[in-house]
Amino acid sequence: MDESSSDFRDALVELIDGFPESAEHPSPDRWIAYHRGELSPDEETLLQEHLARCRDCFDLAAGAAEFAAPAPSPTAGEKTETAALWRLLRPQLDPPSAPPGPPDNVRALSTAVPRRPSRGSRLPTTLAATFFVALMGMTVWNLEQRSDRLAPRANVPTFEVAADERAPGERAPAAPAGPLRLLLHPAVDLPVYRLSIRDAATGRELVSETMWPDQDRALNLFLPEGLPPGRYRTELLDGAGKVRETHTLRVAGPGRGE
Amino acid sequence: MREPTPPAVDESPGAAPDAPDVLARAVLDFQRGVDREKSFELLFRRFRPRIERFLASRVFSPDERLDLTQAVFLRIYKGLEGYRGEGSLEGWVLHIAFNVFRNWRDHQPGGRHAVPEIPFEETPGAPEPSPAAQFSSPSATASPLDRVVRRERLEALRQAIGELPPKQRLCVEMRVYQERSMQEIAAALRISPETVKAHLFQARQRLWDKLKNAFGTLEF
Repeated sequence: MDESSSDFRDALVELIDGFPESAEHPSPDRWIAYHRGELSPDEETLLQEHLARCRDCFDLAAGAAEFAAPAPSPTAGEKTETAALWRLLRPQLDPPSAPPGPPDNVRALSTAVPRRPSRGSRLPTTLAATFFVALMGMTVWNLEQRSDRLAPRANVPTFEVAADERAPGERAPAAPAGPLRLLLHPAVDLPVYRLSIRDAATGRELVSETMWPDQDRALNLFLPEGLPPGRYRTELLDGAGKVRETHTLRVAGPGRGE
Repeated sequence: MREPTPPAVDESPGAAPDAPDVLARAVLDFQRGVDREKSFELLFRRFRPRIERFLASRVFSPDERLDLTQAVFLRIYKGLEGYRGEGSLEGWVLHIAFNVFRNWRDHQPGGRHAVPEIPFEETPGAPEPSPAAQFSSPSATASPLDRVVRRERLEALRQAIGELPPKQRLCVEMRVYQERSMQEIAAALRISPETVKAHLFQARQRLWDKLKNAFGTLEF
């Protein structure tokens, strides 16, 4: 049955591939106009036919949909994010070209008595520099935390999370409290995963990591602090953010290892 | 004689930052070197949320999204000097954003298909069929009878697909050929996801009536 279904897919792919997409790809402006409903019905039909066959244009058109929609007023969170990103981006932009210097004789006089900028004019620069150093520090700290999680560790209990094969009613085995290495064996082979660990009771996400399988197709995650005793839901998501597997993880309290 | 310098970007409360003339003025100011940084910041604030939304559904790592957003704006910054306004500014920005995204996507493991859809039922560890074994590339060892059967099934499929109403056919093609979600198809065709679902349901019924002898199941 599955084979037949796959046959259908393969046959349809072959059929469509037999009629190559038009070599002429609509411009971004046309896709924006399409999403604004500014094209004639005939043009819309042509573009939709193209969309069905051209993967690149499908993605471009999806972007055009974002550009065609009226911009909603940004939320406070978005404003903060935009401002933070601007502070990151700004130092990477070319420095403004220096204004033309004064004549030589004036330069000689002015360099002879260097003037210290006033405290007021130094303040914004000082603040910006302080903020930048703090931001860089936080970024480095984040990266260290991340590499800590993915680095292999010795003498740390390993807890394997695999497909649920327990009998109905049987309790999930409990992982010990404290530093812990989680070893997951995904049922579905993907080149990259996102692992999310949520508190089963509240749904709050405690861990979110992009992970690449090792040579045994397993995912290794080191949790230096471990997890507090309780029940957790681990989710493996694919690139589209679709949950491909979920597992229940139980962490026992100290001295209650099973 | 030198052209009079235009006033710097209008940021008065009444000026909508989205207004095309405000953006055009910002580009002009940037190109003339008048308040370059401020002009670019205005473009950044205008386009950043849209680029973020475009990337959000395609790049799931926040770190990578941040890197890509920065890469997009660095390219805009470098290219803005040469922007001559042949197309709209937003189309030009979209083109840059898409090129950055595509470049990133093509360098992901698996190339153009960063995360291939693998059916759940597939047995883990089972050897993957080689491309040569796929339906599309019949091996040289296929018997003449196999080739005839294959040709007849393709012809039956071509006819059945061709007889579907256009919207139903487009939904099937986007779902099966492009492997898109209902939401993506709905956005592409500017219809609701429920309508896409209905189109797919009806298309499945029609195709099943005509193809049940050729294909065991039709799942999409």
